[in-house]
Amino acid sequence: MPLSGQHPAGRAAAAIHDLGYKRYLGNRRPQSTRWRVLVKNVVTTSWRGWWRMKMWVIGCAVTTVAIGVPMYISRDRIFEELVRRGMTVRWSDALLPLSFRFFPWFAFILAAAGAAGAVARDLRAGAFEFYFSRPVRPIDYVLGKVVGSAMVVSTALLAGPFLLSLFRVGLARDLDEVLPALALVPRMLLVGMLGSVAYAVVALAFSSMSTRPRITTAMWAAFYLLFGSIAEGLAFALRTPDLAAISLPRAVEGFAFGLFQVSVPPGFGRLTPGIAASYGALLAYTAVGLIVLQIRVKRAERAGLGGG
Amino acid sequence: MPPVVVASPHAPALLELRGVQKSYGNVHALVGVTAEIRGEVIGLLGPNGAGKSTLLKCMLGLTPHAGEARVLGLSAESESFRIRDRVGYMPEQDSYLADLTAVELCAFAAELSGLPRSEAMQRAHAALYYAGLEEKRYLKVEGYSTGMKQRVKLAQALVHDPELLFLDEPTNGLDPRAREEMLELILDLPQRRGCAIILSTHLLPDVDRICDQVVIMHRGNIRFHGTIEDLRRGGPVADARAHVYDVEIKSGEDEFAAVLARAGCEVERKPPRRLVVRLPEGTDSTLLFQQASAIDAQIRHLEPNQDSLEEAFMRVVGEA
Repeated sequence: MPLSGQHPAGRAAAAIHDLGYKRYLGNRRPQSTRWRVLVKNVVTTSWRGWWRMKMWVIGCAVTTVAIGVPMYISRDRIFEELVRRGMTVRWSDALLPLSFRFFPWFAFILAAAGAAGAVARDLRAGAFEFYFSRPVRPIDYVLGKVVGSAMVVSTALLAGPFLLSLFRVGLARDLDEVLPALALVPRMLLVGMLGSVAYAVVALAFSSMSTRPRITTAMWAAFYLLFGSIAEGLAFALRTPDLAAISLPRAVEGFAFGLFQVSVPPGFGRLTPGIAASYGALLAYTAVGLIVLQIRVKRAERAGLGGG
Repeated sequence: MPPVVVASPHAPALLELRGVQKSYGNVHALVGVTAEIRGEVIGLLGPNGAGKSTLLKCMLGLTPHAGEARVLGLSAESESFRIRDRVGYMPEQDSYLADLTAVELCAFAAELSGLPRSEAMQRAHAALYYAGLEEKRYLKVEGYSTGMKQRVKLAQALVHDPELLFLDEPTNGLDPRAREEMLELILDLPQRRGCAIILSTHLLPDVDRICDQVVIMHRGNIRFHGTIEDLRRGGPVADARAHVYDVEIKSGEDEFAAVLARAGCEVERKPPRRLVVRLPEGTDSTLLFQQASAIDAQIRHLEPNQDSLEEAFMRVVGEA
């Protein structure tokens, strides 16, 4: 009911609307769990726009189907014959790690559309005052953004590969084939999870470098495309495959190939780094990204409230 | 019936500051601030660089400091998160999240302050309705006008049901009507929601209109703390000004000034007919009537001399 507020004569009366105020006496969520609210916010806001997430999720689904079809076809006897004749890995098994040559593209785009501008957008909108005037620590903010962004990126790097690994289990002809196929599932999950976190953290770290989302997104794209290509070129020129692990997609690919013991013969396309270099690169990128992010957010918290 | 806040002297003070110090390198932002602040609507005044923002950061536990700061009885050092659950903050600058509507922003704010999702959403609607956004609460905040953004900032500050609200320049950039509406909302809050308010502003008319207490900071310390009446009467030099009166007589002010001077008063002329008279020690306003009677002058107006709020503020922070 609108109630007229008290006001001096001659001044405009403001209508004060009261829907019936009651003091909140219930429990409050423990402080240590507030980061989950941020995770939910990151995922729901990403899901909204077509170009931020939905379009690329559809792309991932199409890619998953596109890889699943040859996996199904490779059950054909011709391929079985290749295995009997000494082929070390089944085609259907090899297609699982090979899928990490395609899914990282969607991960890159998802990170560019969301994480790469996320912190910059918050800096620009003054959101740190919003966050840090509440019981939110810098670590809560970082954790919320990283987990949320990793969940978004995982729709490319984790969901598709995971579904393919389940499909592979489904393709098994008998129980003897089921058990080895089941062992592929956690490997795909491991690659997907580590890759998703690395993509999210590095993109978020770039996004904390400036208050202009376009600039930070461009920095992420330059790092991913240019810096990655230079690293691959150097690895090729120096005949040092492990150097290619500096490129984020090659690190994911190298880790997957290593886990599945798939090797690409020399001269057959680009160089793939070894599992140790790939794993090390992914961990290093994640660690450095987290440190950069935490420092920048902590600084923003200190600069914090009240302007000057 | 809305709850009514009665300021009890036994209730914990809103703010208790004991020797609070903070330096940034060689710059001393707070210099041993000590105060106990109670009240409903308190104006926090001070020129730029006075230490208001630093004090605010210390009270919310956002910056380490020396000395002891307690807010609502909680230590700013060890219980800062509990403080932030019970305190609302309306920032001066734009502070919103891109892509969120006002309802989503406020619900998110309430959830971050620990409220369950359903309660957060319900209170977000109520807070925005209270702040006057009504149907516009479903629009994205980045497209709002300045006035609407101020309302959203107020709503997000009170959505989690705080006991104390820090409002930083809440009427900045508002047109006169919107400013008046915002002030009425702020005035209504203690009565309806039972929360105390600390209003940081440069707009002295706003303070004059809604605050019952004033804290004036200057050069990292509190220079005055008390009611606006006290401040007007002279603040720190109130005793010295207790014998100063504004006098207006019907006619003959020159002669009246002369007899007062002979009686030991200090007289200052304020055209057209007003005199500011400082009485000598040991006398009171009776002396004025005696002297007026002696020359058949008629006193038409007599009141203790008070500064305007602006004059009082300048006196406290000025070098004079």
